[in-house]
Order: sequence, then structure tokens, then C-alpha cells
Amino acid sequence: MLKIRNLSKSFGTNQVLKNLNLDIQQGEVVSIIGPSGSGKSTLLRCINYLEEPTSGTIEFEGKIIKNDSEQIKDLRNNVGMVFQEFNLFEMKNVLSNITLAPVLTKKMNKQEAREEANKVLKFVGLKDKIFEMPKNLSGGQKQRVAIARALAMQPKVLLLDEPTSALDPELVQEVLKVIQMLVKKKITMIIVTHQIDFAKEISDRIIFMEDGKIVEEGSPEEILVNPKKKRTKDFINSIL
Amino acid sequence: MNLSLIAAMFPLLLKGLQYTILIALIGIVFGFIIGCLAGFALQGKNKFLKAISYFYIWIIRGTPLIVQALYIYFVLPKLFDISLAITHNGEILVSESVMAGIIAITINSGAFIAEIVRSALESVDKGQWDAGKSLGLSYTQILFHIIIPIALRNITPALFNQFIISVKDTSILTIIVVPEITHQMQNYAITTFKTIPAYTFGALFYLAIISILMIVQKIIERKLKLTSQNSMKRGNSLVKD
Ligand SMILES: Nc1ncnc2c1ncn2[C@@H]1O[C@H](COP(=O)(O)OP(=O)(O)OP(=O)(O)O)[C@@H](O)[C@H]1O
Ligand SMILES: [Mg+2]
Repeated sequence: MLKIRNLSKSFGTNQVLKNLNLDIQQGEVVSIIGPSGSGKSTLLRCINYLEEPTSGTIEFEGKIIKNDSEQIKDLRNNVGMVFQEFNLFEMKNVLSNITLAPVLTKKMNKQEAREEANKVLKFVGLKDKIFEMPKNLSGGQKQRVAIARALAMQPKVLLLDEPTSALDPELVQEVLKVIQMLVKKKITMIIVTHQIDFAKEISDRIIFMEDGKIVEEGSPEEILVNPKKKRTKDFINSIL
Repeated sequence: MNLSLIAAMFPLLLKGLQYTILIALIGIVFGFIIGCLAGFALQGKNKFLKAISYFYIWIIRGTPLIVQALYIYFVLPKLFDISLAITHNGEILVSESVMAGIIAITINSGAFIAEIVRSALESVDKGQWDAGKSLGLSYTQILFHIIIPIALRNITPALFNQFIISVKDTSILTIIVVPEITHQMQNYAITTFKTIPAYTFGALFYLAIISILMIVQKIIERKLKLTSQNSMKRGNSLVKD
């Protein structure tokens, strides 16, 4: 459902993504691993046009996305994103965080949006926090609200950029549990993560990125247990 | 300084205070409007509006307030052949000098507020924009629903600070005979020759007024700090700039 072709991205003279190709099938869970600065976040941000690709194309459901605000908006309505730093809207309570976009972009009425919010909050186990302000939530709760917010848009693909990296260790598990539930629901997901064990458990496919390129990709077994390339092996050894 | 001087001067200073506060208040309200427009322009993408804003701020920050006031009072009416006074049925509602004072304080605070607004918009965490965009919201939707509420909360202390500055700035309007506090005190000193006590009492009067405003400012800051912890730090740092 997602085809990335010859994607390159430069910031000034710094080329961060180098002619990258990647296909994502419907229902697939893909984890991206790789050293810091290899361009993992930039890749995710190019997929929903938070960064405009320098060259190459993003094709979503058979349509090549052009740099035109209507198309990008449409793409973003269908591609959810969860950030490392949660990025909950600071001045809005949990309910408004979740209902803002459905009401504004899908012209959902307030009542429908609220029912949807209840549903997604229940899913992430935070129904009782519906009127809380973000600052009163723990990191793990914030991230679960962020996931709920993305889910309320009923995205076809969910992008997660190191969703547990900003969390205290004891809060990681509650977020991973929610992601596991998403896997069960067969939601198409691309996850950037340093949690190798978790990636192994949930992924259909693992991608190892380095220096703006995909070095190797394959099943968790192929990448994590029997990597073919030396660089992949070195990286895996370095983080285990 | 004796009681009879205080009794004689106090009503005059109170009358001056009305003008001082009136001008500073109108100045901050319209300055806020101008400052928001210019601040948004500085932060936005339209090059033409940006250039106008830069030009405006350059002129205001590049000249002394007293020169601006003189220019508005003496030169503007001549240049455009208009009277700044507002009259109704031949009765003067707002004199030329008061009007010039209001304009001077307004455009002056507007330029500083523009910078306050610009940096408040910029200080909003970029992640807020990312989150809004990733949900498919448009630039204006993000601006009005997400960014402006944060920016407004963050600029409140700086805005109040600018109000206090404007209150003090009105004192230079004595040069264009606006009957504000400084003008009253000067008049009294000149007509009675009680130079030392008149100016001393006038200065103490200012000190009292500004002190009250500073206390109010502290209360506002504390209130805002209670409703939000981290993002207020940015708002406070604006005040110290
Ligand atoms: N907005 C930007 N402007 C300039 N350079 C950027 C920008 N975003 C990323 N970069 C650069 O692009 C490179 C790749 O960054 P990116 O964040 O994609 O890496 P990453 O693989 O996600 O790393 P990490 O594991 O640390 O999150 C880095 O060298 C970074 O400095
Ligand atoms: Mg990253």
C-alpha cells in the first residue's frame, strides 16, 4: 500500500537519505533499526511529508503524492504518526487532543468524535483520564494518549518513531503492550525502535538502516539472528 | 515636603495619573493589535508583509520615543494637513497633544510587542506543529487551535511588562504638553518654585504607582505558573530579555 521510490533527502549539503526504496504491504509490521543519525526519523517524516523529499516519490494506495496541500492533507489523514516526545497539544485536555483533528479535518460532529475518543481511550486503557491535561499525565500515559489520538483518525498506516525512547524504564512496558494490541488488530505499522527483542517479537520484517541507506532487510530471524552483512552483524552485536 | 504641599499636589497628580493610565492602556491594547499583526508577519511566509514589519520595527527602535512623539505632534499634522484632535459639535473631546501621545505610545509599544509575539510564536515547541501536521490539520488550523493559545499564555507576563514600560514612557509626553503626571509635577514646580519637594513628591508618586503594577505583575506570573510549569519558563525569559 506504500511504495517509496528513489527517496533522497538533503538538509543543505548533508544528504541524509540516499536513493531509498521500500514497499510496505497492507497489514505488515515493519521495524526499522540502525545507528543514531542514520536517517530513520527522516525516513518516517518523509513518508507523511513532514519533510519534503528532495527527490524520489512516495506512493500511497496507488497514488503518487505530489507536493500539493490537498494531497498531503489527504495522505496525513490516512497516515498516523506517534512521536518520541509525544507532542500532545499542551493547552488541550485529553479529550480535545483526540477530537481536534477528526472534528476539523473529517467534519465529524462533536458527539461522534467524542464517542470515538471514548473508544480509543478505552483501547489504550485511559478512559478515566479523559478530562486530564497532558501535564498531569506520566510519560507512558502521554504516549498512550498520543497513540489514541492517532488512532481516532482511523489511519491506514501508523508511523511510530522510537515511541518508548523518552520514557522511564518502568513506563516502557505499558506502551509496548498497547503496540502489541495494535499488531493484533492488524494495523499496518512502521516502527523505529532500539528495542530489539520487541522488534523481533512483533515484526513481519526488520530493516537495518545505515548512513541513509537500507543495508539489509528481511524477517526478524534473517536480520537479528543470521544477518548476511557484516555491518548489520556489528550493529546487532553493539546493542545486545 | 509638608502636608499642605501634598494636599495641593495630590489632586493634580491624580488628574495626571488618569491621562497616564488612559494613554498607556489604549497604547497597550492597540499596540497589542499592531504587535500581533507585525509579529505574525515576521513569523509568516509573506515576504512583502515581513518587509513592512521589519521596516516598522526598524524605524521605531531606531529613533527615540521623544523624537517620535515630537514628529507625530508637530510634523504629521503639517504633512497631511490634518488635525489630530477629535472634536464633536465644536467641542474638543481629545486634544491634539493627547492624541499624538496615544499614537506615539501605541506605535512604540506595538513595535516591541511585535518582537514579543514573534519570539513567543517561535518558542512554541516545534513538536506541536509536527503533531498538528501529522493529523492533517492546515497551517491556519494549527496556528489558531494549537499555537496561539500557547503563545498567548507565554506572552502575558511580557505584555504586562510592556504596559509598565509604557506607563513610564508616557512621562516624556510632557514635551508635547500632554497633561500626564510628569507634566503636572513640572507645572507645579515651575509655578510655585517649590522645586525640591514638588519633584520629590512626584517621583515618589510614580514609584508608588509602578510598585503596585509590579505587585500585580508578580501575582499574574504566579497564577500562570500554577496553571503550567515548563512552558512558562519561556514566557518569563521573555520578560527579562
Ligand atoms: N531538520 C533538520 N535539519 C538539518 N539536519 C537534520 C534535520 N533533521 C535531521 N537532520 C540530520 O539528518 C541526520 C539524520 O537524522 P535522523 O533524525 O533522521 O536520524 P535517526 O536515524 O532518526 O537518529 P536517532 O536514532 O538519533 O533518532 C542527522 O545527521 C541529523 O543531524
Ligand atoms: Mg530519530
